[in-house]
Amino acid sequence: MSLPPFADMFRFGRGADDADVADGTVSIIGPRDRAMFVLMLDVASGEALPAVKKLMARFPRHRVVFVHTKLDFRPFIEAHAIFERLPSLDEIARFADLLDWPTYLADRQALLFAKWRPDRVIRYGPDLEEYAARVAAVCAGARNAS
Amino acid sequence: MPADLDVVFVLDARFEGGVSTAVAAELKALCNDTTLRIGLLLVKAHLLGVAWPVHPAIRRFITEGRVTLLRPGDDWTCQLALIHHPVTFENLPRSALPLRAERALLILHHPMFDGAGLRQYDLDSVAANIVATLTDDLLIAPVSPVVRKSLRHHRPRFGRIADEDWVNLLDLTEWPFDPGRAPPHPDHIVIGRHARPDPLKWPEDRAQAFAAHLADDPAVEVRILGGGAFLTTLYGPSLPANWVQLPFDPEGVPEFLGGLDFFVFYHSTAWLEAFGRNILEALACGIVTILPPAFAQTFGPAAVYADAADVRATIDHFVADPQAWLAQRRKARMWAQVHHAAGLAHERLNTYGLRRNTVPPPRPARRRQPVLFLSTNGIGVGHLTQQMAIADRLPADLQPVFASMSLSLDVAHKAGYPVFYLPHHKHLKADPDRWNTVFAEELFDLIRHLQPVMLAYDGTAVFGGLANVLGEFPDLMTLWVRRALWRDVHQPFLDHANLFTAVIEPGELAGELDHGPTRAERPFVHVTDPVLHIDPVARMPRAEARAHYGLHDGQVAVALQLGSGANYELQDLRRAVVECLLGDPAVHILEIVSPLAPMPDALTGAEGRMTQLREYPSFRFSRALDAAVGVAGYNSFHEQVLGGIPTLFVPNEAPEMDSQLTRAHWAEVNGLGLCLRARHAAGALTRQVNRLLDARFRAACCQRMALLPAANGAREIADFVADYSAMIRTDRWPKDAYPR
Repeated sequence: MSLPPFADMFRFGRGADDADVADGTVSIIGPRDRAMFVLMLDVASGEALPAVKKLMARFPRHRVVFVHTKLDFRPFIEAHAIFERLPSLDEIARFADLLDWPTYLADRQALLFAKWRPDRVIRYGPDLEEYAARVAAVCAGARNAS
Repeated sequence: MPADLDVVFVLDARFEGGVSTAVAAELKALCNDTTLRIGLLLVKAHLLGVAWPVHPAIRRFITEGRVTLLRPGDDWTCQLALIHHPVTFENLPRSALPLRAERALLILHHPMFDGAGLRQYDLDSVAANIVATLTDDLLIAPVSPVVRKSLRHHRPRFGRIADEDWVNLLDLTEWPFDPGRAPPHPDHIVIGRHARPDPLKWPEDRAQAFAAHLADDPAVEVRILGGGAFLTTLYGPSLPANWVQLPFDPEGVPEFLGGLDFFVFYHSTAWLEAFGRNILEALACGIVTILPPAFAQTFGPAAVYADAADVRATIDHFVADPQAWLAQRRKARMWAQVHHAAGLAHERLNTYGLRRNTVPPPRPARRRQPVLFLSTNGIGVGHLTQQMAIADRLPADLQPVFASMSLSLDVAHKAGYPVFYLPHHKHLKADPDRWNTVFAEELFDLIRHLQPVMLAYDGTAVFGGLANVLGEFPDLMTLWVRRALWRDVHQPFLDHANLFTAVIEPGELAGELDHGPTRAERPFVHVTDPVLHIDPVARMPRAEARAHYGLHDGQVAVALQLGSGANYELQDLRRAVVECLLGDPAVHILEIVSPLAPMPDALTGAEGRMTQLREYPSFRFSRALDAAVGVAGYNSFHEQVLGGIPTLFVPNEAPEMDSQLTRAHWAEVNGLGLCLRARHAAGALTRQVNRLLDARFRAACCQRMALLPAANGAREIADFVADYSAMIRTDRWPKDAYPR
């Protein structure tokens, strides 16, 4: 097993900057690969899932990465799709005290962009900014309730 | 302001010897007083590198809720902290203590210098660490005159030496005294000794050892509790014929002592026995005890003192004079009652200034501390099931959190746990090296935000990314729960074992047939009973479970569970098995489909006689079953066998899997199931299915399965997680703890 050089690791934990992302150090795809994100955040299954196969067919030169909040992965597995998952608003509300969700999700999103370096983002439902706002609202609500 | 707690015991409670049993005896005595608020602060000291659990006699008080277990990050105060053994604070703690004590007592269970004059610990350094982190008022109490003498009039830089020794106490009801015991018969004298199996607990000189233990005397039987191969290393291959060796068994000591006429204890000159709890136990049972003269300062007239060469004559004296033997027995028991009875525990606390019946201030509710359960992808739900078996049994002050590469993560969510998906490179179609870099970032990010008190990993592969993250958090308690029955191809992952604080191997019923790479590691890991998610006794009653499936009386319910099929094709076999099963008109098949697998096609001819369903955990309803056909993965195998379900096991023999064949074969040869190798035994299919459907075979199989022990290792691992995640670490040396 070959390990990456230690110095190249944990840039995000130590404060990554645009240069880290740009030079592809923290990336899962090769320099000539192209990726795109399809955001399906906090949307009902019926609205978006039928589109999975169609989108993969429509963008054959891209590695289409579905970023969603579902826990039933079967539609993606059956379509042989690549996907990433973010916690749903329901989960965040339920475990509001677990961690600082807005900060964690900001870091998580940044890491996902570095990981895939998507040159295109399309969405069904909210975009990442809107999703972050909803997360912040959920957390504020939970704080007030407690 | 009144303290939150009255007394807090501070110790590394994992040791199996006298310190733990002494503390357990004190706890028992003190816990009888329900007005006393008692806490326990567990420390992981440097001396014990292997993953031993907390001593069961102490663990019992945590399980029963009789002590408050303090956790890192808490903020408690107490009147008196009892720090047992200097090793506890030999290093500065790796985190701030969750306790501040008005006064602390450092109890020296070990001499500062051993018999050879070698320094065993630096008392000033230990005391400095305690004063820096726990209390301003430190007293130091030896457990015996031997330990006091070993201080050599040392005047500590921090704290002061107490006037009284902190002697061992014991509950005399646990150490029965038989006043009517017949005196020893001259033709059959039973002498005995017990101690942990350690060469230092024996004279290094063969002649002395043989003299003290009446070697080859045909009238004397010498019983040794805590014998072992070390004795032949010490004294040569031919040990005396009258020495009867028994394995060390702390639980069996009272019964052992009950059979003795005399107790003898002679040890190496390099060893300085700090107290001698084993001796006290013998005295409490009223056994005539013969010891080297050095023990006189600790046990006074309770024992008889003789050089090794004079043991024979001493015994002869008592055998010839039964009245003297009886009087010495009474003297021994009386000594234990007066000086070491557990009831003295209260009084002793009072002499150290304990105030009683104070009312503590109200405390804010504790935040549930996260335990991060990390698992690899697997092909089904196996890793998650193992982890949920542990998570479900954790105390309420811990919050299990699941981070997994498993596509079945939903089962943890449905069980009520927060979940994080960290995709495996196969699911991303990614280069493993690049993926390892990113995975490390993702895990690092999760840990730094979540701040778990423990990371528990379940998986065979310890990825490079994981290894690097573990290196970034060296103070984090980390646990690797990895099963046995590895293939040789997995061997390199064992090199990562020392990255974890502890390694646990869930027990395997077929473990004796395991000759894979993990077998040699057993002495260094903690092996538990087999782990089950659901205890067999907690399953739904049979009638209710059969109603759940809509089964009628007279139907033979056979479960069919062939896994996800992700890495081992069993569809052809499935068809053949179903056809064969349906040859019996009473059979109804319940095909339980993996959460990951697509629903298989319904088979022609099976209409009305086969029900397909997704169900997790299906074991809950398994009392409805009369038989099963399924793969031999760890969870399903142990559920079927320990759940008493006669099963035809079809091992998944994919090369990356553990050796399911070993399990299935073990079950068949032990009459606990059947084995059918999908690719090797096509001709045996009909015969094996017919055997499974034979009511007599199933009854015999059930009878044998019912004899298997019912213990579930999941409880033990959950206790392990609860305890280790509460431990304050002093096991790391400062020179290794900071970047240079």
